Amino acid sequence: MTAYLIRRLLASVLILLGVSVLIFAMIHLVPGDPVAIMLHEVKSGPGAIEEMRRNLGLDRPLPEQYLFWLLGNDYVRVDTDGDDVADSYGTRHGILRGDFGRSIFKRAQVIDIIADRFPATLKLTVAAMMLALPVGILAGTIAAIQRETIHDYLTMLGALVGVSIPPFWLGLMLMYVFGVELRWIRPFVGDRGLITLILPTVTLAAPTVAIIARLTRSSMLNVLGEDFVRTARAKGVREGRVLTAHVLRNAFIPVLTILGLQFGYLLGGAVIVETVFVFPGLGREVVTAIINRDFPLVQGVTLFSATIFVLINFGVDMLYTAVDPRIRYA
Amino acid sequence: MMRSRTCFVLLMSLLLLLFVGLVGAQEPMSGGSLSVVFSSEWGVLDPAANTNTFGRNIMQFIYDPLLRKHPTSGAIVPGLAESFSFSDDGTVITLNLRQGVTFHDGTPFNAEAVRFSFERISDPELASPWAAAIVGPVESIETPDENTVVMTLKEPFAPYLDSLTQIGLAPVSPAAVAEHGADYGLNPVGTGPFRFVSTMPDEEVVMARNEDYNWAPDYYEHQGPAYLEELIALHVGEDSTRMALVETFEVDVVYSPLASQLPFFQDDPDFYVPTAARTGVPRILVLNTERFPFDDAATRRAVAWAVDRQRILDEVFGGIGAVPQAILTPGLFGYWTEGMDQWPGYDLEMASSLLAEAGWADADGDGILDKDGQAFSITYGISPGFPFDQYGQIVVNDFTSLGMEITVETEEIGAYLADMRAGKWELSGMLFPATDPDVFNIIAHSSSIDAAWNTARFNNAEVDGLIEEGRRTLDLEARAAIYHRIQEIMLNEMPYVPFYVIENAFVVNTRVQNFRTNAQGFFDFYDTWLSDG
Repeated sequence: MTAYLIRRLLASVLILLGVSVLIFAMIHLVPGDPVAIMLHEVKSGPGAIEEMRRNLGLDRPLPEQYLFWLLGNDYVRVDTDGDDVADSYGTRHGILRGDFGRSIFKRAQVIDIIADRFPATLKLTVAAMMLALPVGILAGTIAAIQRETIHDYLTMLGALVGVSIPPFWLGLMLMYVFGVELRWIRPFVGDRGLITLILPTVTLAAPTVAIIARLTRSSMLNVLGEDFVRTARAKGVREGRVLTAHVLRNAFIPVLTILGLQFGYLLGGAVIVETVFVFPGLGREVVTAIINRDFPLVQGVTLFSATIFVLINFGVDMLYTAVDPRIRYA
Repeated sequence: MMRSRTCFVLLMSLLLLLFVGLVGAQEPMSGGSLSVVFSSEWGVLDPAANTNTFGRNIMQFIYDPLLRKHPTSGAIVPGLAESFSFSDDGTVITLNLRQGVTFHDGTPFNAEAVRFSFERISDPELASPWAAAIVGPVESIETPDENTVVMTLKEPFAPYLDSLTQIGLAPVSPAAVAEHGADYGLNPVGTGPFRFVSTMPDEEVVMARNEDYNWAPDYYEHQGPAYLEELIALHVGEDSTRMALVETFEVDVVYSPLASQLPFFQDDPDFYVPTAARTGVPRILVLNTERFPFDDAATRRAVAWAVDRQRILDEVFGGIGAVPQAILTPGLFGYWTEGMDQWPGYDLEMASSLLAEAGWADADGDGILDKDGQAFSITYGISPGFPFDQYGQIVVNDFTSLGMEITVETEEIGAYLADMRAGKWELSGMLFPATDPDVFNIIAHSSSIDAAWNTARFNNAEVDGLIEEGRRTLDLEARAAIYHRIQEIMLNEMPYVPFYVIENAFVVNTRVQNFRTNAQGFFDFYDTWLSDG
C-alpha cells in the first residue's frame, strides 16, 4: 500500500510537470500577444508595444521564459533596459517555489486570484454534485427496478434530454422563465447567497444527473442478474435490504469511477454556467485570461485545475478499497 | 401709453417663463446609489497599468487627470493643473497645480505626487503600458516648488498635452503606492469625485462620493461633492443577462447595449437611450498596400465605392453613429471639413467602372475579375462576433457582386490582432479611438508597420514627414493644416476605407437625471443625480 502510494505520488508529479510544459507551449504558441491586445485601442505609437514586451520579459526565448516560470528569475539578473546595469522585470521565484507570478492585466498575484475565485467554483461544483448524486442514483434505481415500465422510459427520456441539452441554453431558459417572466428569483448578479446558487446549480447538475442515472440503471440491471442476488432473495432477505445492501453497493463501483471524472467535468463545465450566471468563479476568470493571452494567469489556473484533477482521481482510487473490500493495492 | 403696455406684457411674459422654468427644472437632489453594467472586464484600477476602455471609464471617477478635454469643444482645459504654459521653443511645459487638493487617503496632492506618478509609469519594473508615452518624449521632470511641475521634453511634442488628459497618466497617491506596493491596483487612491470602497476584481467596483471634492473643472454644472452618494460598476458578459438586468431595474445604466434591442428601449417610457460620439479613426476596412491586388492605389480607390455605409449603419449599428466623410471622426481636432464631399459614397457602378479603369476585367470568363493574368482573389480576416460578422457579410456581398473572390478567415481577437499586424490578409478591419490626430503616427507612419497599428502597411514618405511635422508644430492652425493635408493624401491613396463613425449608446433608467458624457464618449456621473434620491 505504501509503495503504491509513493508510486502514485511520483507519477502525479511527473504528470503535472508534463502538464506545465504542455500548457506553457499551448498558450504561447497560439498567435496573439497580451501587450498588443492591451494596446490595440490606445495611444501606442511604435515603441510602446516593444517597450512593454521587454519590461514583461516577453521578448526572451520561450524555453528561457518557461524556466523563469518554473524556477524563477532571481537566479538570473538580466539587463532589460539596456543600460548595462543588471535588473529584472519583476523578480519571481517560480512555481516550484510557490510563486505563480502576477497577472499581466490584473496585476494581482495569480495565487491570490485563484484563492479569490476558486471558492465560488468549488461551491457551485459541490452543490451540483450534492444535487446530482442522490437524484441521479434515485432515478437510476427506479428505472432499474421498474424496468421497461413507463417510469423507466420517462426517466431515461429525461436523462437523454439532460445529457443532450446545452448548458448555456438551459441556463438562459431557466433564467428567462424564473427570473424575467415569473420573477421568482433574481438570479442575475453573481454569488449572493443561497438563492443565487439555485439556478446555476440546476444547470450545472443536469448532465451529471443524467449520466449518473443511466449508469446506475445499467449497473444495477447487471447486478440484479447476479447469482448472489438470487441467493439473497432465496434465503428470504427482505427486498429493500437486497437492494440497498447487495445490489446498490455492488452497482456503486462504476458510479464511483464516473463520479471522480464528473467532479472534474463539473469544475470545467462551471466555465459556461459561470459565464451565463455571472458567477464569479475560476472558469469565468480563465476564459477572459485566455482571450487576453494573460499568460501567467492561464498557466497558473490550468496547472491548479490539473492538480485538483489528479488529486481527485487519486482520492477515488483510494475510495475503491473502502467501498469494495475485494479491491486491494499492492 | 402704448409703450408702457408693451413693456408690461413683455415683463409679465418674462416672469411667466421664469416661473415655468423654475417649476419645470427640478433642483438636483443629493444622495442615492447608481449602478452601471459593462459588457466585459475592466482590469486593474491602477491607471498606470490599465488601458482597457471600461477600466479607464471607471477610473475617471476615482482619478483626475492633470489636464482635461472639454466635452463638447474638445479644447484642452485645466484639470488638476490649473494652468499650463509652453516655453518659446516648445520643449518646456510648466504646470501650475491646483492648491488644496487632497487624495482620498488625506495626503496632499502636490508636485512631488505628479513626479512620483510619472516616474512610476516609466519604471520598467511596473511594465506599464503607458511607459512609452512618458519615456518617449520626456527628458526630465522638475518640481521647483510644491505647486509647480516643469517637464522638459527632448523635442517639441504637440500631442503631449493630449497625453496629459489621459486617465492613464493621472496622479496616484504616493502614500498608497508605498503602502500597497504591487497590490496598489486593488487599493486605488486618487483625487477624483468618487473614492474607491471595495471591489471583487473585474466583477464589481463600489465607489462612494468624495465629500472633500471641490476641484471640478469649470465645464461642469456644479462644484463641490458629486450628487450621487454611491456608484457601483458591474460586469455582466452575457448579453441577454445584461439587458435583463436593466429591464428589471436591477441596474440603472447599461453600456454598449445590444443594438437589436435598442428600438425596444427607445419606445419604453421607463428608459432613454443617449449616445456619445467616440472620436478618433472610424471603423475602417484595412487594405493591405503591400499585397496584390491592393498594392495599387487605383484599385483601392475603386473598392471604396463598394461599401454600403448607410446599410451598415442602419442594419448593424441600429442607426446609432454616422457615415464617415473622412478618415477621422468629426469633432476631432484637425478634421478636414473641406474634403468631406470628396470621400467615396456607395455606388457599385462607379466602383465597377473605376475597377475597369484600373485594368480589371474578367478575361477568362469565370466570373472573377483578372488583371495581368492574376485573379481578384483575396482573403478577408475577421474576428468572430459583433460587429465583424454582420458588417463583413454586407461588404463581402457587394465585393463579390463586383467580381471579386473573397475567402473569409475568422480568428478570435488575440490571434486576429497579431495576424492583422503581421499583414496576413489582403483585407481586414479595425478602429482606433483617439483624442488627438497624432493617431496618424500609429496607423499611417511607416515606422508603425509591424511595430504599431499601420496595418495597411502604408509607406508614404510625404505622410511620414507630415506626421513628424505635426508632432513638432505647436501652433494650432498650422498643425490643423498639416492634418488636413494628410487626410487629402489618405483620400487619394486610400489605404483605409472608413465606413462607420462610432457612437456609444447607453440604455438609461429615467430616474437618472443629468446623464452626461465626456470627450471620449465615456459617461460622466459628476453632475448626475437621481430623481428618487
